[in-house]
Amino acid sequence: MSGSMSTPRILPAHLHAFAPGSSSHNTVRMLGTITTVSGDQATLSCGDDAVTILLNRDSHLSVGSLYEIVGKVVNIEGGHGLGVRVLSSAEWPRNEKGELPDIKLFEAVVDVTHRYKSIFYDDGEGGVDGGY
Amino acid sequence: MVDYGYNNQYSTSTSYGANGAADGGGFVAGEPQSSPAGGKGGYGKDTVRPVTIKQILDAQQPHPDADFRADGEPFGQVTFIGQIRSISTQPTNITYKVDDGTGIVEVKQWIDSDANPDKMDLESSKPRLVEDGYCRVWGKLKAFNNKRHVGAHIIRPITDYNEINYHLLEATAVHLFFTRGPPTAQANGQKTGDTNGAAVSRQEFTSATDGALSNVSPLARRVFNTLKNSAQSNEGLHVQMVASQMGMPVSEVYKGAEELLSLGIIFTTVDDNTWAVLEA
Repeated sequence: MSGSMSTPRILPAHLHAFAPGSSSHNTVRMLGTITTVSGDQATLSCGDDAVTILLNRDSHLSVGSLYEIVGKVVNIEGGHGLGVRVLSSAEWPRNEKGELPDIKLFEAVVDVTHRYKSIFYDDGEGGVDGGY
Repeated sequence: MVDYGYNNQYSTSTSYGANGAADGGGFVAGEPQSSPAGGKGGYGKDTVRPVTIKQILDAQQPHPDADFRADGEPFGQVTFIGQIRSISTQPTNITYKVDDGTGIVEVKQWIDSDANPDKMDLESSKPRLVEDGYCRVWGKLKAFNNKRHVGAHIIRPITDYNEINYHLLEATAVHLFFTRGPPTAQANGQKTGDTNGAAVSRQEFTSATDGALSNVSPLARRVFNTLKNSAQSNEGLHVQMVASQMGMPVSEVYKGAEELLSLGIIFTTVDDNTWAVLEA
């Protein structure tokens, strides 16, 4: 049961492991800066990489801010590769010193969550051990 | 059925018997604090353990009154972070559903009817607990009718979001500590004689693990470390020297030395007030 509840943290490079059909589990959690918004699509930049996200009506994302999104990995229509359909989003604001949360720290977390998976995610869900 | 109030829940609480009644009230100051000298098995489970919610859901409980275990290590008090998925206010408690991406668990904070409920609201400028916001929880894992929840002592909103990733890394580090042992640098412990704080505490940590010293008070341990690591002749150190090295009153040094003497860890040399470490 906890399996269906969990939302693995990933980077854009790991999307393929959670693609529709490749895994029974394709709800993921990502952190990045919104760099473009156009219509119901936006770009979430995570370090040097980026992912196209499909917005829902409730998402009000502003360009330049950092967001954590939870969403489903989907095929974008027209063969534009994989994207994420947003289920929920939360802004990660600046701290009291005016600094944005450290994206490198998130990348380190993604690394350990897949390296020491047993305390984070069930085996059946998403990704292939070591090969994500 | 109405009697299944929280009193009953307390009595089914997992471990501490009499102490169990004191928690769940959101009052931390009165919690039993273990001292490092608390003896075998005593302090591990009272130590606050950073965990993921999956670890909470996966924790094993050998029988209903036993301690929960993760990585084979018993624990009671936990701390974790998560996003609040729902908040429901009930007559006796507020229940939060908290999701950290690895699972979802219910967190109950009991309402203390004696406390002034308006007190919190006065500080309206402070960040509040809101749905979809992140929070940090300290509490105790409980099982009730096969359902697990955390009785929160403290639940507060997160303002620096680095804390979220920090916590996940900390939980991983603690998990690895229990499954693989301490990092080698700590296991070997360098006895450099360095007197700065970090080095001293590491020495205390490592010497605490070597048998004879595991049952002495922190004070005695410090006296021991001073005797062990200070330059001296084979006549050892006089109490005045130890006191000035440690920056403590002579009477305190006597107390610690007494303990070490009775265990045969140190011995008197030229007079009753001069000691040396036996093994040296």
